[in-house]
Amino acid sequence: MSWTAYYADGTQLHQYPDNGSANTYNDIDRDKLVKFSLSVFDRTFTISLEEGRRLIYRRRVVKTLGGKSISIYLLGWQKTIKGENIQSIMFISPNEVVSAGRWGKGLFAQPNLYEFK
Amino acid sequence: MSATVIINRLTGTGPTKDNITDSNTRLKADDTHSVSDYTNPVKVPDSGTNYSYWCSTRMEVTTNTEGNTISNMKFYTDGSNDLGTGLGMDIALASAYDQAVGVEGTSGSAIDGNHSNLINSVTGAFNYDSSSPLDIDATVTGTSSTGDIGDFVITQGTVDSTAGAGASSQETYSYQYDEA
Repeated sequence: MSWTAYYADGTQLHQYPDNGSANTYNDIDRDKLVKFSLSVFDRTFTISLEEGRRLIYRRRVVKTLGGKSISIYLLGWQKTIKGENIQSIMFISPNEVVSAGRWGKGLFAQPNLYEFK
Repeated sequence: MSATVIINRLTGTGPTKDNITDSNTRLKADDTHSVSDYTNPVKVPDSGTNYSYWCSTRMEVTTNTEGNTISNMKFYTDGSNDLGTGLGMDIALASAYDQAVGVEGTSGSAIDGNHSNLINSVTGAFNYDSSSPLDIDATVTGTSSTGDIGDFVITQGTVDSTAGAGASSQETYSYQYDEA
């Protein structure tokens, strides 16, 4: 898994640059961010962050005592429109990609999480 | 590289940390962690309610080589009490460790009124499932390094006079977090 942040000035921030170092999520300059790509499960998912859209990216993990660990990637954006927080999120797993709204809301309230490395 | 996050049970005065992520822990009438020890069971009362010693658990980030951000911690059960007749599970959150107390081999002291560092009211643990988890990020909201994170999750088995003798059925605890 790796990500790339694309900035308005045409530059990019790679999670893993060629020099062997690693950038973190906190290194991303949100003020300049216009596009974000996540490469995972042999595919690349890209979102456009038009004006006012704020990045949502994380891996949600659930550990259940007994050794079970399941997770899913969340990639999308949120935007405040007329005081309301609007979200559009892709829920990315090895088996499927679902585009839906906020976690826990609507018909797609509880996406399946999966065991993967 | 992903961070390593584990679940510890804390016991004793130290406290002692035991990693229970890949195993289980027993709720008994003593302040110890065990995966299989049957000594000091909670005595079934003639009336009223007896308790296990309360069980303190907390999440810990043990490796985080790339400084990933761990946040948004939550706790939940399967939402169904399958422990058996007369048995239940209470839960509360705490901002600091407080060693469990009680009478060994008989009953622990109730969380409510005896734990010194609670940050919310004692409720039934099975009120919290994956669709309505319990937020456990008031004390430490997260980290980009290593160390203990989140609130102390305090659980306690309850035993009333209708309970039968012997070990109960097993229940599962789930801990959720986000990593970015």
